[in-house]
Amino acid sequence: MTLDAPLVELVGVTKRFGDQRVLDDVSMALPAGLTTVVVGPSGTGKSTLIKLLVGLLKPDAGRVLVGGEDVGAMDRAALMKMRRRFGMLFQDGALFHGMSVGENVAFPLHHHLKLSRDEEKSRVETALAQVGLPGLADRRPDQLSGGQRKRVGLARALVMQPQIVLFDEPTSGLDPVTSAAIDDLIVTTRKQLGLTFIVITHDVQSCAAIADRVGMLFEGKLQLFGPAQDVLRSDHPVVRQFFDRASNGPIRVV
Amino acid sequence: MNSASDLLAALGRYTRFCLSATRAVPFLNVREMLHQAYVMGVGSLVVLLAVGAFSGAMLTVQGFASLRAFGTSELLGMFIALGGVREVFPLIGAGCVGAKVGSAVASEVATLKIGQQIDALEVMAVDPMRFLVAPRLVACIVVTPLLVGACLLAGLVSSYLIATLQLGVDQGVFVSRLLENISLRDLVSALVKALGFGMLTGTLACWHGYAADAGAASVGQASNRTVVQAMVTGGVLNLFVSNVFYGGLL
Repeated sequence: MTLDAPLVELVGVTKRFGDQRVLDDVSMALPAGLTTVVVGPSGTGKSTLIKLLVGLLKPDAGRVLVGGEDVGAMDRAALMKMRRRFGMLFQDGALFHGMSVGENVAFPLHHHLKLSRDEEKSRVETALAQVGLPGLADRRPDQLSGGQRKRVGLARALVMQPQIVLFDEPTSGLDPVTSAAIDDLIVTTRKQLGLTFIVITHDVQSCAAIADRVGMLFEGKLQLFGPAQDVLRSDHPVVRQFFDRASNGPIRVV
Repeated sequence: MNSASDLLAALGRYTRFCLSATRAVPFLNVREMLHQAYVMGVGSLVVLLAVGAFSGAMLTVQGFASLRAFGTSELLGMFIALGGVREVFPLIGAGCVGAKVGSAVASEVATLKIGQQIDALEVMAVDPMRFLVAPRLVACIVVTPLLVGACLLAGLVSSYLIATLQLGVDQGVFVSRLLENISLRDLVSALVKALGFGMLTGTLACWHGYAADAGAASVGQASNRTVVQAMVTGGVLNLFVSNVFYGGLL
């Protein structure tokens, strides 16, 4: 896959929940090997978008393409196969509390690869070292801080060596210093591994720190999408209000 | 439930869920199933033994008082066999399994749902039906007859102790009346009921847990709905099976 070629593409995607149109004719091509950040106010369809990418939801109209294959048209077996191209960091890590950190990270390995115990352990240790948490494999998730849980979630997302890593609000609920550390981790990990990262967030500082491409969602529509420096400097009223953190503008606080 | 169409829609969703869970059973994670069976069994045994013992004692005292009024207190063993083994112990045991196991499974699955762990399984290409639902369902079906059996035994032992030590009924008479009135049909009926209760409790608990949306309140709702529906449907099942085995139905 060459740089800038779309690995993930949305073509005219619409998603409704009842009468509410959460995503409305959204089209965007997310290039391989870069970090694309989709920003927007809460309730504007960001989480829906990420769920559409991995087939947790199906679009009411339009197509979601991963590597050229239509996710919405896949049967269950094809969907499960396609998902192995993804890793995902959930908002609160979504770790299994009955398992240790090491067991959590080893979970996808254990289910999909027949590795020896030593090989599995080594892969887990490498993944934990990659996210800056070496030697924490025996801890329980409830013994970790919010930032550490996210790092473990990222280690679990990376351990299967996916092509695409999704991040659902990676800095939400974290203090500014920990948020900055997570941002640094995202930047360095992507550079080291050369993967495709797709991040949804409403953290404007985080977006500025990690994004190669930025898409701005508002009221279900993609307002603007392009290289980060262009979007961040744009005069688009929605984008400006959002990145300037202004209370007056087209975005109304409900 | 607002209307009959809502009820039908819910029944449709439940049926679809049960079919998906059944299809996942051949691929279930055996280790997880054994773990769940252990947790359910060990965690509920003391409660079932205690409830069975108290039910047996209560049934014995009431039965003795009623039979003595007709001068037939020597039939106490038969009364316990007919009322306790056929109906009271299985039904009370099933109610306890519904309350203890059903609420625990429903709240666990609901917590995993709202904590996005079920979504995480999906994204990791691990089928939650195979990993999460099928092991709990099978564990529930396997463990419920054992727990109901334990409840039944505890009821019989307490009944024997109350009858002989407190009420002065002759040991030999009590035991012989009891044993001569327990047939293989009674045991098969109790087993069928327990398997049905296990199936109902397991499917309802996983279904309500799986249907939980956002918020901590939905965990409580899932748990509450499971217990209420397991008890009501368990009562219906008990009536149906009793009618099949003893009422000439079918």
